[in-house]
Amino acid sequence: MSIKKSFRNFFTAQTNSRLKDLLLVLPTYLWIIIVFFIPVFSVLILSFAELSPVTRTVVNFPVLSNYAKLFIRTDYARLLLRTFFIAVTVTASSVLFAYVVAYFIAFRVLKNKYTVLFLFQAPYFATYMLILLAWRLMLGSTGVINSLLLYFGLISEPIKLLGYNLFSVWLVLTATWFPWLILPIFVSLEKIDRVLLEASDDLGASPITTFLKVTFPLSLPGVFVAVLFVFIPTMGEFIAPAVVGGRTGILFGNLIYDFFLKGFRWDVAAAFTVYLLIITFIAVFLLYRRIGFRKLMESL
Amino acid sequence: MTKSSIMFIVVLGFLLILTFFPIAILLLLSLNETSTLPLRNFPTLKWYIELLRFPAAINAVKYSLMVASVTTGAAVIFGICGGYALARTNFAGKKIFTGLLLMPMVTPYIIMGFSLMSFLLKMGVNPSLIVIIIGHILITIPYTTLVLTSRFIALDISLEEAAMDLGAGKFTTFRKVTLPLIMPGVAVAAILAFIISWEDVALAVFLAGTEQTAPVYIYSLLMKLPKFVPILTAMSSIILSFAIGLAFLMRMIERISA
Amino acid sequence: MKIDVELKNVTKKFGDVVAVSDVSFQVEKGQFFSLLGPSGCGKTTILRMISGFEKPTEGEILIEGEPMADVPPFKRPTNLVFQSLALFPHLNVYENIAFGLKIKKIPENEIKARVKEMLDLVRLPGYEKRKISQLSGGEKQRIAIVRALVNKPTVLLLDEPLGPLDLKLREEMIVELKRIKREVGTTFIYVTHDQGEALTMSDKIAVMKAGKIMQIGSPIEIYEQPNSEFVANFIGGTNVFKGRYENGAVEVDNLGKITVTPECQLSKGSVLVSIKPEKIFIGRKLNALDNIFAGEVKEAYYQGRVVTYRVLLENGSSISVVAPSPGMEGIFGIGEKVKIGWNKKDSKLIT
Ligand SMILES: Nc1ncnc2c1ncn2[C@@H]1O[C@H](COP(=O)(O)OP(=O)(O)OP(=O)(O)O)[C@@H](O)[C@H]1O
Ligand SMILES: [Mg+2]
Repeated sequence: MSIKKSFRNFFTAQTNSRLKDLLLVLPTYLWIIIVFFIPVFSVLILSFAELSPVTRTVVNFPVLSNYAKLFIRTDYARLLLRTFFIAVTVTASSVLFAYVVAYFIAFRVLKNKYTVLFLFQAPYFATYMLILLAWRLMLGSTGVINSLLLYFGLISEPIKLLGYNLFSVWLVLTATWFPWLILPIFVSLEKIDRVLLEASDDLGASPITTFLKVTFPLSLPGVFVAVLFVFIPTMGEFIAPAVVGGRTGILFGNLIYDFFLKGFRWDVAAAFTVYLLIITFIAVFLLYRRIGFRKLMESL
Repeated sequence: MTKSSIMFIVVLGFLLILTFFPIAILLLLSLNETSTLPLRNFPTLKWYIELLRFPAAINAVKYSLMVASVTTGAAVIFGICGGYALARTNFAGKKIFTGLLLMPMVTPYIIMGFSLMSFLLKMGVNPSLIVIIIGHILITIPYTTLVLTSRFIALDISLEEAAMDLGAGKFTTFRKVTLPLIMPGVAVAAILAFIISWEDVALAVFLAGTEQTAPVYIYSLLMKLPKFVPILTAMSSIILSFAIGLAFLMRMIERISA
Repeated sequence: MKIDVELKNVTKKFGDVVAVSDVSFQVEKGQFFSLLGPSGCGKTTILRMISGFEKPTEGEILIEGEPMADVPPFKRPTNLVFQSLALFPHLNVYENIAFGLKIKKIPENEIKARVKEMLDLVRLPGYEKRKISQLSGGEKQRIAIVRALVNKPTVLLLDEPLGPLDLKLREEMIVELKRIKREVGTTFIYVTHDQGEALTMSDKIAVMKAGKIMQIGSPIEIYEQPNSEFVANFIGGTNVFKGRYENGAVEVDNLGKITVTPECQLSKGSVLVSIKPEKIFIGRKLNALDNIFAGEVKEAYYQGRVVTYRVLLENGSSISVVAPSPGMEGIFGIGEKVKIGWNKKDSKLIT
């Protein structure tokens, strides 16, 4: 009797429309599952397989040797650490820059706020690769910056730091990333009720105290979104290091790319991808818990 | 003017230079004999003429436009369906869906690129423009869906109810009321999708076959044959002129929809 | 009389919230029926159930005798004027009004004629090409009403259509609405929280409280014979005293004996007596009234046509009185000793 009733309930209009509405998201579901989940899952499986370097068939399964590679070759492990370090520093510097710009536009620019905001966003359209190419010409021992400095007699020989190296990778990533981060921070700053700030001033707080005690805490959601936006891609970055990193500036992503492309070691590439995936998961999990879905949406 | 304002302006000026100076230099050097300073034989159209002998470069821009257009069309349709569903209906498994939707947004491109291409190669699918489009749709769907969700939420639901009350069925209501009112949001979503596809190199580098999009073309030429850098600088002007047009279009649409 | 709309024991729950609880009523053809109640009492929810946007959790809704349970909003013979008006901002006035007719595939020249007829009805001729954003509040209101009316619905549902208008415009629109109602003759179900609007326009009023209907009746019945303290208070405010009924009089603590009309005979026991403030006389000397008490003016509010007094009576009760201004004896000042009184037919017993 109760089974019969629940069976009937299942086909009530309510459930019916919930299933019908599901059709609207079905294409997206399928796309994400087929183009994202299944491939990522297959990589997960691949990471436990040992492939023959010649025939690329599975010779051993399951094995942990691909994962062990990271610990056997200390330069791989060091590369991962270096990448983490670069991701953290790039995140810190680009969020800081973006914060300064966002703060300025939100609180100091009175007219045409959105035009100023747009000015900083304009480089999106130029494409990332083109900006990297530009930086390639700017940097290097015979690059534009060194040439100009030499020409004006400010230096007598090229500055090494502005060659193709890890510092340049940091510089270029920071310069290309910070414009992307202005918007989420700006949105959260704009939302702050100005009366709160006036109240704080009114209570005798210095501008710095007001900033630290009121403005900054209230803008944190935007900052978290920005951190998420920059940290994760930087962990997987491999284009900028290839363009301006020279020999000393390559990152973990270059390793994966090379294993995929040149070394034909997909199994190792898969294991390293999984390492990257785990780090991403942890970062997303930590930040997601603090910002949630709604905040992420609002800052778009 | 206070001291802090001056400091702000100095920092802002520095950041603006950081953003625009390299691009300006790129354009400048495209008119130079070499792609380093000092200027020699400036200005010269030498590299622009040379560029004509590189049809692959021109084609790359064409392919980029093509990939971005198809991606945009598809991602916007997915976005309208998904956004409407998220904002207006209570479909089964909504929470799971939103979680799923965010995944491609927070995964490094290298993971998606490697996973998708290794998987497709195993399935016997070779890299091609179509594969790039498949990948680009994946990375743009979350953006179009989320942008449109918030637009649908902002749209007063009683307008849709009013249409139904006046006799319009679900579909007519959508076509005659919802869609026209959501159009500015659709435009914003479309431009966002276009930019993401147009910009991308990290994902496309995995998925591109012999037909390369512009960023992939620049990347691979730069890696394999650095002596052709001057050609790339000339090619950049073409890309930039598209970019400026696109930027203005975006600004105009933002203005209208605001 | 033909019944256009009937609700039978309708209940609506949103999760744990009971928005409408066991509501039943009938609306006759051509009637101006009002749902009156404070904010959040479930008025909009009832309209939304009649127009089909919400499904009753329990109970049944009939329109012209037909059960509506499985009829979607776009197939119901009702049209709704939304609380927010919901005029389509991307269409002009003509396209807004023609929206429903176009869907019914009515020939273009007939649409034109009917739209024109409607614009004449609300005295906005020549407004066809106007954008919605170019209309004033009152004009928007009228367009919203005819956009619904043009479809010749069996029942027109109006959800506080005058809510956002200022007082002056509101009074004009009340007159306008009455005229429109008279000219088209359609059945109206009108939702409002303003008792003045409801009393002025309605043939019948249902007073609601927290999802329940407290009383249904004509404006006069509702006003003169409220069946509860809530209704008495909601309709224009009143003085309510609690007491015990015995032999044509009610014994009230802190006041004394109040005589009441014999026909509202009740069994002995605890009752409420309501006396409308405007039925109470005030003066230095009063006679020939059934109930007279002495007291002192504590508050006096001059309101133009009338003065509202609060009088503290000798036995400790306080009562409000609305008197014409200026009365025969002028306006009483605070602290003045006065007498107040009323006839026993104006002492209403409520249960
Ligand atoms: N979709 C809903 N979900 C949950 N609760 C709802 C919903 N719609 C209405 N309610 C609740 O039902 C009750 C009645 O709401 P309703 O809108 O019918 O009130 P109302 O009488 O029209 O009020 P007002 O005069 O303010 O318009 C309220 O407590 C409201 O919070
Ligand atoms: Mg309401």
